[in-house]
Amino acid sequence: MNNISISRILKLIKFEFLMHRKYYLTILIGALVLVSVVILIAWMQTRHLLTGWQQKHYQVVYFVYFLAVIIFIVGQGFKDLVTKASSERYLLLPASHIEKLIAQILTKFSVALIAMPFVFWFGVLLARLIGFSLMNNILSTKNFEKIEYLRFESLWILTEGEHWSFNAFFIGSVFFLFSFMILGSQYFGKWNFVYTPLIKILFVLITVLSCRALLSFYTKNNTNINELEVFDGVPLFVFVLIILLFLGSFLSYFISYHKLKEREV
Amino acid sequence: MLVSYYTMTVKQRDMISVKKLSFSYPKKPWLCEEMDLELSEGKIIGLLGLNGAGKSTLMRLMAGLLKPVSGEVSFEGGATFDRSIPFLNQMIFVPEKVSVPEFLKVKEYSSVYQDFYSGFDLDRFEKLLSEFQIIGNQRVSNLSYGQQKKLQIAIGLSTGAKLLLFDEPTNGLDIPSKSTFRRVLSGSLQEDQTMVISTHQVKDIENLVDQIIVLDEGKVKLHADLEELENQFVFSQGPQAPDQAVFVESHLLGAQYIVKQPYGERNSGGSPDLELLFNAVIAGKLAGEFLSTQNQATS
Repeated sequence: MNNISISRILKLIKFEFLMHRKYYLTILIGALVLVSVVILIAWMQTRHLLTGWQQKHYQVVYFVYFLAVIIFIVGQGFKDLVTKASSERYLLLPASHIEKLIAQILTKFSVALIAMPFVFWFGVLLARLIGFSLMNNILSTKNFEKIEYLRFESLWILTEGEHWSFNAFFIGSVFFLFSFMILGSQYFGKWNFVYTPLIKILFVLITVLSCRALLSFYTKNNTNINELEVFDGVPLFVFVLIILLFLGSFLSYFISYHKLKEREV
Repeated sequence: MLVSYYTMTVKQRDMISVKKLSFSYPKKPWLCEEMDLELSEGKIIGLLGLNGAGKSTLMRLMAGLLKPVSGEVSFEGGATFDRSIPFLNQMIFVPEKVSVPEFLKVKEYSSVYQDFYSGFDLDRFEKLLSEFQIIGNQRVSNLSYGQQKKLQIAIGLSTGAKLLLFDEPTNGLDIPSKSTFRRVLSGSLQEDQTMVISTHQVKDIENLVDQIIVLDEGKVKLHADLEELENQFVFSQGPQAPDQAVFVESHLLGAQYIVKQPYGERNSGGSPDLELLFNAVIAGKLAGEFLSTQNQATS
């Protein structure tokens, strides 16, 4: 496509960080502080001081953190389309609609998948620094030594040895969540963090309930939904979901592109 | 000795073409229906009309911010609403209400336009900043509304765009700034550039524009080159208006009036009084197209 220029996409990314640098600085610093506080509070729970805090505990906190990143950061896409004045400026920037969409996707992906994991890691380091230097002296406890040091690679949820369908399902889910939140930002603006997650929950409920309904309609016995396998170890239900997730992801971007193209101010 | 004469007809290139344009906002009355308009290059065009006549809407349609319900608005053959890169690179729209992120410095904000507009002239921009008395290292938050508007105008004039759309550019400017604006504009435009200024402050664009469009009730009531109007009409004032006056308005010293030039005569009544002209059009006394489409050359 001759409408795509890497240099214009980079300029659009520069524009995004220039116009919204206060927002990005606030979320980076805010996330850092929040993670430190939450981790410290979690460590202060007596049971953790007694039994220790391991990598798997970090992963649980990180999972919740990652969901929050998707909702509150990825979901704030196209911030320039929120007000009339900024919309005029953004839509009339000499760049194509596809470049503007790609720039938004790259910006959100880079913040969510590159910057924010580091922020989490630094937040944990900060909590460890505060915990070890201050709390040990204040509380005179040596139990902080039972807190494991966070290995950055443990934040990567996909591990070797997992079934390919698990990895595909996880990657598809992340892609779909990202794309749907970006699409949602064009419809719901600043209220995207409320409406789009609600729609997603509704979508999951409808998908699961309709599968069960179809299954009970077509089978005489109460067959477990996981017993129908299309590949070895891959239930039909999961396989269909994987396809839907990737398709949904592509469709979300497709609709997003057309929504941007037809945007009027 | 053989002397030959020829007449050369030169029609200036149409930059913006509006064909059978109809537009309305959702659930609102039609703002224009089946409107036709051609804007040629190299002109400063004043777009006049009463409040709610559709001036800003037409500007937005030309800028590609609104989609026609039917008909088309095109720039050099391409629909403006497509917002193609060649069109956006050749067009700058300065809206009535400017909104510049206040935490940015002037130079940071202008760097956005420098990045995207390939024809951006930095020297010209700095000269304009100096004329408007704006310092490049200032934060936008330290600028008044009028200064922010001047900043946006300076950026608009520096992009090198062929089509400049200014919506109510003098709103919010003090009197000296309006003079600076007129002076800067009259010295800034290149031959292949077209500027459309939408305003209801007719006095602000007098002696600046060379073409006038008057919108009323969703239609183009008047589209005229001021030079052509000067050729065909006399705008004057006196104790009494002549009987054949096309339009008369009472005045402190008697009457202001518009009279059609008798055929073959050319009495210079001075530049058209835009306010009088506008009132005449709104009153339905003057309408139509008065465009200079022929140049004559002899050799």
